[in-house]
Amino acid sequence: MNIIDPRPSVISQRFSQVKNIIAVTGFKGGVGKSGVSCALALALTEKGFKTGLFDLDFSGASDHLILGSGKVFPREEKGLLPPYVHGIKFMTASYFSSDKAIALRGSSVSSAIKELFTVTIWGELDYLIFDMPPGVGDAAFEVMNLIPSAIILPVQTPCSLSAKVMERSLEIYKEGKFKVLKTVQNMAVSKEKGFYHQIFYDKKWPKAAGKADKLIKTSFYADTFGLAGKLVKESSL
Amino acid sequence: MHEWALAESVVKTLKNRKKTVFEAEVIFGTLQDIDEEIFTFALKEILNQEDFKVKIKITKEDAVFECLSCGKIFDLKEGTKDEIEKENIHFLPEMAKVFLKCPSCKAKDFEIKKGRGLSLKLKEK
Repeated sequence: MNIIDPRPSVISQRFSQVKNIIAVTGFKGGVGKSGVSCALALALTEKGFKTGLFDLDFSGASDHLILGSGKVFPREEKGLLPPYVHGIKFMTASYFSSDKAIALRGSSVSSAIKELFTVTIWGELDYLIFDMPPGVGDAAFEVMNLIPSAIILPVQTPCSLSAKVMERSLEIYKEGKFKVLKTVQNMAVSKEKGFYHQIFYDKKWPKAAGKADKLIKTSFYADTFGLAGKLVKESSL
Repeated sequence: MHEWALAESVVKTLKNRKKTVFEAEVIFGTLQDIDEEIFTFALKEILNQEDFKVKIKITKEDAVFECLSCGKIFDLKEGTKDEIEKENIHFLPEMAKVFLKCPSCKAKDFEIKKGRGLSLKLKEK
């Protein structure tokens, strides 16, 4: 007798009505993946697109704090329906952790991702943003294996270390035949060529975390709104 | 009712192997505490829309954990009694690592050896 995990069989079906999946990836901690992911989801929503956001950084989950999602919880209906937060369909493991720290070994991360991919019913979306954990680890491999259509959007800071680590790591995605966009430079301090987009350092951004009405008034958000426009052109929506 | 989504995964797996599979055992790990009544209802409803028949039985497997700090083997009897925590583990069994501790050394670094959630044993031609 074979013992089988049945969950992966339905995962492609769960994303079948999602037109574009963008995995916001950075290869060092602290480069601002979560901030970019949240602002990007808000911007795409503001542009009128049906948008979802999935915080896959289980151990460092912070999107719920950035968005100030409050005490929302998925609704059960033939699966889990992500609640709307500021117009975004939002899923995070923090719903299930009672706001306690989530410390998981690699195999548990993989299994938890499979579980949420299996039971989350996204429905129709124009864009689904994955906020990835730092580096190429278990979450990245699960996404590569299960969601081959994901577009990789790398984020780095002006720090040369973050750029070097990223160059190496991006090779892994490229070898996997993923569409990898040019890099977004976050916390930029001067105009530079060669990036997909630059988001300039904004000291007001961290202070606005948790208050969406304030977040959308920052220059960080305005820059990310420009990024959203480029992505929309890229995906021809 | 997220049991429905899990039942769909069982049916899809069986459908993908419908030419070879003739008997299936659906195993519920007690950690996830899947509602058998809801799951069975969903399974029947979804299977009714399919054009194949498979003999299915449901069994349960007790959850067993091994502490990766001190090596203690323990079970759910020494786990949480809190209903919210149980519900969270029901939705995402890996949350056991947030709410449970090794009864011996109190570490949260343990492995789920058996009885996590849904699995499937198939008899095939």
